[in-house]
Order: sequence, then C-alpha cells, then structure tokens
Amino acid sequence: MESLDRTQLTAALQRGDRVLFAQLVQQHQRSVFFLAMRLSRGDEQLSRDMVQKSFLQAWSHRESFRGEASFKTWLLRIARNLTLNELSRAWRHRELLPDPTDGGSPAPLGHVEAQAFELLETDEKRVMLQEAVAALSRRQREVAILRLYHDLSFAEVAEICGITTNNAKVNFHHAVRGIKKFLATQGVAA
Amino acid sequence: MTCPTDETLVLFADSDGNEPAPELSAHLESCAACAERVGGLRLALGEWRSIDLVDTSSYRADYFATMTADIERALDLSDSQVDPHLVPGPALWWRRPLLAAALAAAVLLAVGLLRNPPQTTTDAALASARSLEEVARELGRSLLDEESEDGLLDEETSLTFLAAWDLSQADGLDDLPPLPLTTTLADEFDLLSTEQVDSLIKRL
Repeated sequence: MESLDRTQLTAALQRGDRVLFAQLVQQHQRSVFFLAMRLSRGDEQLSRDMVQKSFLQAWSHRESFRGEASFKTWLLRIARNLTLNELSRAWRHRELLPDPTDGGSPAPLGHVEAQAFELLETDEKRVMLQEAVAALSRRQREVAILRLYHDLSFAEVAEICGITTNNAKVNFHHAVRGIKKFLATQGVAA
Repeated sequence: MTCPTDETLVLFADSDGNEPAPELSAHLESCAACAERVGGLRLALGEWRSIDLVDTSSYRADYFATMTADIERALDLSDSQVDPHLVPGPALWWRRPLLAAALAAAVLLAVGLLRNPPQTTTDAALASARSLEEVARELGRSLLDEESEDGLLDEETSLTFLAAWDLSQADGLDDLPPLPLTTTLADEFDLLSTEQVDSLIKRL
C-alpha cells in the first residue's frame, strides 16, 4: 500500500477495495484512537467507539474522498468531528461534568514547589500538561493536540479543524502561551 | 529590525521545516534576548511533545488487534445491510430518482392545470362547430367542382392560387397600401383589377 500514490488510493477507495481499507485501518487506527483519547481527556470507551464510527463513516462516505488532502488528514477530520459532537452531546446529557469541548477553569492542583518542568516525574508532567491543555479554549486545545502529538503541519491542522492555516498558527501561539501561563501559576517554569 | 512578536518567535521555534524569513534569522543572530527566548520555547515544546497527554505505551499491539477485529466486524455488518442510515421507507422516498422525477412531473402538471384551466367547451358546442365546418367544406368542394375540371381540394386552393400568380403582374400594385398581416382570399380579390381577375379565372 505504501507504493500507492494519492490518486491510486482515491481510485481504490472509489471502487470499494476492502483489502486496501483494512490496511488503512491498521495504519491509522492508533492515530484516531489517541486523538479521541486526547480530546476526551482519556475516555477510553468513547475513544474506541469513535475509532469504529470514524472508519465506518470513512467507508460509507469513501466516494467523497477526492484525494485533495491525505487520507490521514481526511480520517482525522472525521474523527475530530465525531468526537467533539459526542463530547458535546454527552456533556448536555450528563450536565454534571464540565464541558470538555470548551476550556474551563482547571481544578487547582495544590501547591507545587517551584521547579523546572523537566525535573518533574513523568506522571507529574503528564498530569500537569493535561490540566494545562484542558484549560485552553476548545480551538486552542485541538490545534495544540494535533500539532504537538500528531506530527501534522499547520496546513494539515487547519484542514482537520476546518480553519485557515493562519488561524491555526494564531491558535497554536495562544495555546503555547496558555500552557506556559498555566504551568507558571502552578509554580513550574516551562 | 526590532524584536519580533511573541507569535513570530513561537512559530519560528516550532517551524514545520519552512525556511524563516532572512531578516528574522539575521535578527536572532544579533539579539541575544530573542535567541534565548527561542531556545527556551524549543526546549519547552520538545518537553511537552515527549510527555504525551495519554500514556500511549500502555496500549499494546494486542489491544489494537482486538480493535481492528471489531472494526472489521462492523464493516462487514454495514456491508451486509443495505445501509443502516438508509432505512427503506416512506421517509426516504425522495432518494429514488424515478419516483422523485415522476412526482415532480405530476406536481408540474397539476400546477400548470391550476394556473391555466382547460376551455370548458361542451360536447354539444363542439359537435355544432364541427357540423358547421363540414357544411362549409362541402359547399367549397361543390363550388370548386363547378369551376374547375381538376376538382381541386379546398386545402390546395390557396396554394394553387399562389403558385399560379405571376409576380410581374403585381408591379402596378406598388402604390397600394401594404397588405394587412391577416387577410382573406376575398380581400385579396377585392384588390385586383377586372383584367387580373379575368386572367386568373382563365388560368383556373
């Protein structure tokens, strides 16, 4: 499959090549799963559901894949939309949890000795970062996640989020500032 | 160059392989403060990248093998069904092109009929008009039979007349007012001189 260029991939999808699609599942399911996990702040069951729904939707709408973007970008866009919709729906129904699609005030983490971020234990760093990213606005959060953890260019991030490349850059800048500010309030120098 | 904005420095520190503007590179070489900020940003971004929000290492290959199997099963199920989202029924009738086209044609016809209702001619009036027409035709035929040995049909009469008409004879009619757009054969005869009428009768 690696030898297939985008045109060939598009043609294969248009004719409903299930063998090829199975390979695409193998290749991209981790990205989709971890994107859903990061957006949902670690909701594993929801993320598994989102992986399945994303591939089902990609398969049933394969005719709409024109090859203008990469398959990965196209798939992650589907996954991102499904996950955010699901999170919004879940939030509306539960009402008890803070809206995970919009940055709210982070829960206080308690007093942390002022120290450099790199000196923290890995788990501490992770918790700190999770809280910092959760405190961002929804747009900043998704741009930061896609840029930092999915190895995507700003153009690809913009494509997935349905915004312009410049907007993606501006949001990333605000996300970086937001994370640094959050860490500073927690007594950690980023 | 003055010190660039914070946004410029962040994007430079996290550039995705694009070459920075030459003036920015030159500035960073000469401005220690900006260079230090960029260095700090690069360090922080690298650190954040290395600490994922999710502990991905706890999800091993067998976890994804199960996930793949689940996806395959779901795909098989969706292929075996018509389409779970396209439940056949009256709610989705418009997705059938033939049915939709037929309905659209029917609607157009109905609208057309409502806007322009057909003439309400009764059968009796129609029969009367037809009988009158037939009488006129019979009369015409009998007249032609008397006048012409050829026994021309009434439909051919005007054509024969026109074919026999010599345009050169109409030269003298240039001064006459133009013919109205709607005219009859009798009107045309009224415009002819006695000689012209005699000439026509002889030809016929």
